[in-house]
Amino acid sequence: MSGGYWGRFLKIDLEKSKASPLELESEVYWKLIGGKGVGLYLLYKMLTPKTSPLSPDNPLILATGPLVGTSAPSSSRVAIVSKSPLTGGLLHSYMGGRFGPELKFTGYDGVVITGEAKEPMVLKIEDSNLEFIPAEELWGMRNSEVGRHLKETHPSFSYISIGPAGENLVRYACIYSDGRIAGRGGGGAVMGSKNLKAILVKGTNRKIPLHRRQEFMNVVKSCIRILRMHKVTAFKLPKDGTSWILKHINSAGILPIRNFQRGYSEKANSLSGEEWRKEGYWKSSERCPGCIIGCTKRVDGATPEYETIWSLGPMIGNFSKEGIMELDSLCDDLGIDAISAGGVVAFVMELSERGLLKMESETALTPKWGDVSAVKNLLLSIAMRRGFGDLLAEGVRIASEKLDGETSRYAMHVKGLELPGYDPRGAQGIGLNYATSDRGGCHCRGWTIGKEILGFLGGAEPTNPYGKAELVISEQDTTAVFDSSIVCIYAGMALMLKDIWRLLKTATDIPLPTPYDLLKTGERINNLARLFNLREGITPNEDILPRRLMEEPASDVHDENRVVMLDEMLDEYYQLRGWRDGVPTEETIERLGLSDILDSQARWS
Amino acid sequence: MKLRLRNILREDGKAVVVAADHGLMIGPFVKGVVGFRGTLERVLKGEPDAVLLSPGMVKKYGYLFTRRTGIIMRLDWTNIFRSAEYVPLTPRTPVHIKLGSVLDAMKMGVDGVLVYFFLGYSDDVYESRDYKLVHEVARECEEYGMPFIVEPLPRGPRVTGANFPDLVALGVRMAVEAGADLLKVPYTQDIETFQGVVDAAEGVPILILGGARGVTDMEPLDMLHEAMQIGVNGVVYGRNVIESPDPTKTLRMIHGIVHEGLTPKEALDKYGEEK
Repeated sequence: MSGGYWGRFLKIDLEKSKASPLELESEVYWKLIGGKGVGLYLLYKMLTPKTSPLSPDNPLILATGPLVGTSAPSSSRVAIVSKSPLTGGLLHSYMGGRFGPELKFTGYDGVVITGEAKEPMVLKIEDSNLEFIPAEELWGMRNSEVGRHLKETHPSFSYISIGPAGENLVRYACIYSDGRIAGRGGGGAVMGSKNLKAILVKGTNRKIPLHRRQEFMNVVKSCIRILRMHKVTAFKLPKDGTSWILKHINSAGILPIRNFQRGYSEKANSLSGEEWRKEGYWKSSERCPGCIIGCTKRVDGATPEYETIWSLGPMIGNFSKEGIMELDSLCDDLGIDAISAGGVVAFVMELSERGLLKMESETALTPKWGDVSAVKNLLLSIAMRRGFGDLLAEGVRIASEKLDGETSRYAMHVKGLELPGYDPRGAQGIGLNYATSDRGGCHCRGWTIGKEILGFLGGAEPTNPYGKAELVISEQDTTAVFDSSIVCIYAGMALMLKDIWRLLKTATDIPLPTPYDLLKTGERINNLARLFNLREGITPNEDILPRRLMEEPASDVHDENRVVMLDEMLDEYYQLRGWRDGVPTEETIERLGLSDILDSQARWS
Repeated sequence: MKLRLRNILREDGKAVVVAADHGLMIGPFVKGVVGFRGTLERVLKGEPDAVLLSPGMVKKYGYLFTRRTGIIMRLDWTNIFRSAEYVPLTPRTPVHIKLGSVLDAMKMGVDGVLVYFFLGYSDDVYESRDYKLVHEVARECEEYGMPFIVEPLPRGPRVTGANFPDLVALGVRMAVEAGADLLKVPYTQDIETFQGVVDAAEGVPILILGGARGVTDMEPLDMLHEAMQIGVNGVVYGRNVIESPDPTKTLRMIHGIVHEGLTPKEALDKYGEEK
């Protein structure tokens, strides 16, 4: 390989405190790019089927991609790949900041961590040199404290860490890095299960090899121009952050209020990014290295964005900015994914409202809608797994199974992952995406909202299921390419797949004659993800939405037919994917060149 | 060449056109639409080769034009640009209709008419209806000797980041096959994929459109200069001119790139400075 990669991962065994390089064949990179794709490949190969996600044998993979560490815009990313404690399927979650490029500068494309340390520890990686630092005194610390400590003791290193939620194996614990979060799927719990409080990383190989350097730099220049000429990346995101969309989501009637009971609230408009800015809440803008967008808006003690504003706001009946800031900051500090946290809290709030919580220990801890102070107590109980919080730390799926059958109606999740902030009854495509996403009820691995609600590129009729299978597949496969390269999906609002194609074919020697070949790569990655999930026991029966979304018409969407018409979209989706009853056929596996990958042995050394 | 086309393309075969028809599609929510007379006067001071206007604005302000600047009239309307950041009424069903006739345009004394051609929606019938509209206007233009300008735009759920350049090329070719005299085309933002678009045009002049404005004047100038290197004939810029703090100066820089062959840096040195 002549550019974009080092061609090797570092395999670290925490139990034996040993590491060895893991070299990969070019074919793996060519076919799966990096990030999500290569991380998934390693997971598929290394994980014994049906291994518990919290077992020492579940690898925690931190993968970069060929564009990470280069001057490609918005490429300061790292992918966290593992088996998810929340869904039992594929976990892939991403974060910006300095950690991704620093990891790449070690001379490895990523690390694969297995085993369980005997005592709490911090793993320190400096190029090929490792240090296993006992971290007894850090255990129990919140993320902000850990960050302060690590920055004091290792100022030139980047870090990721977990909070108390990760230590206590909360199934939706996140991974934190200096205000950046890899939130979804429970990566923090996987770290916690390995007694790994934090990872420090520093590399000295700061010049990433590039296949055709000068041409690559020209493509970078044109990509920057595209970002500076697109209304969203040049103006909306830098000015108002990701929550600029909130009022539009609300006016479309798809902003989930109080656990998806409603889709619109007049009060919610005050939470749009524009309002935060006008009222002086945005203290500063932050951007990842090499990013020209700067979507992160810092307020006192937190960096709320669309999803967290929604999940800790309207989803739980809270319309106070101060309340959202407090809860957002607390989630980050405890190390809890804010989307799942909002989903769990809203779930028990609705159960309480409906009289479905029987035990006093349950009702006593359950807040009323919008009671921020009580929510804080509940989040603390969850993070520490105290009392009722212990059950809620399992997520809404397991909690509803254990409470009683009727409560499952109000558990808003797909495959165990709590739903994000778009009510699919008013945007059919996002409903299909929730149902089929490889990491469960996820919005950003196939974000149709740009077209369905915001009118990007001429839009797509939101309430019409016709044609949505094709749209969802295209968005999912495109996103898989962004997640594997790795380029931030916000940049993807302006940069097209053909731009990533131009970056990749100058940075690397991956044979990519046309952009369609790259789209096919995305398709290949998503099929491999499907095969992984099937192997781990997630059946096509789980390609389904909560009953509420398929049976209860939404009251705030302006058209008729306000339930998700999943069945007809799903049939077409399977057909277009080349899946029979939800399972990739042999022909599909062959067409995508996956049989070679699955059969061939990686060259381990 | 139709004689009126000389009022748009200069002797060098190139043109600097300002699109000022945003009010028709997006209403008063784009800067410059409200107080349009002042906007138009500032634009005309920069002496563009032509300005694109809605029928209503031709009727209202046509008298402001001198012989230096031609008028292109938009002969259609669509709801698809009502994206959320501008209009609180995003479309659920895409609609595209013809407004008036080429004979109306003749009577108003304009120098060319322009219509969109959309491709990429889920409903294939929609594309065929759209292409029929293009043909109808083409036939009328032939009858009256009116320059016919088409703006092919990939739009809708079936447009992807992979097929966008090919859809632009397809739309361009279909417009040419329908008889377009001039094309207003979205630049794919790179020479590699846009070369296929230029090749598809069979020599029919291409003016690239600007889309949203840049953070500074330099991004659209840089884009234009790049496109000129592969045989584009000029530009139709709207917001990049209208929303500029000094449209006259911006237009002079654009003229420098299109008609004088200057680089953005040279145009900046000669006619303006980066804001």
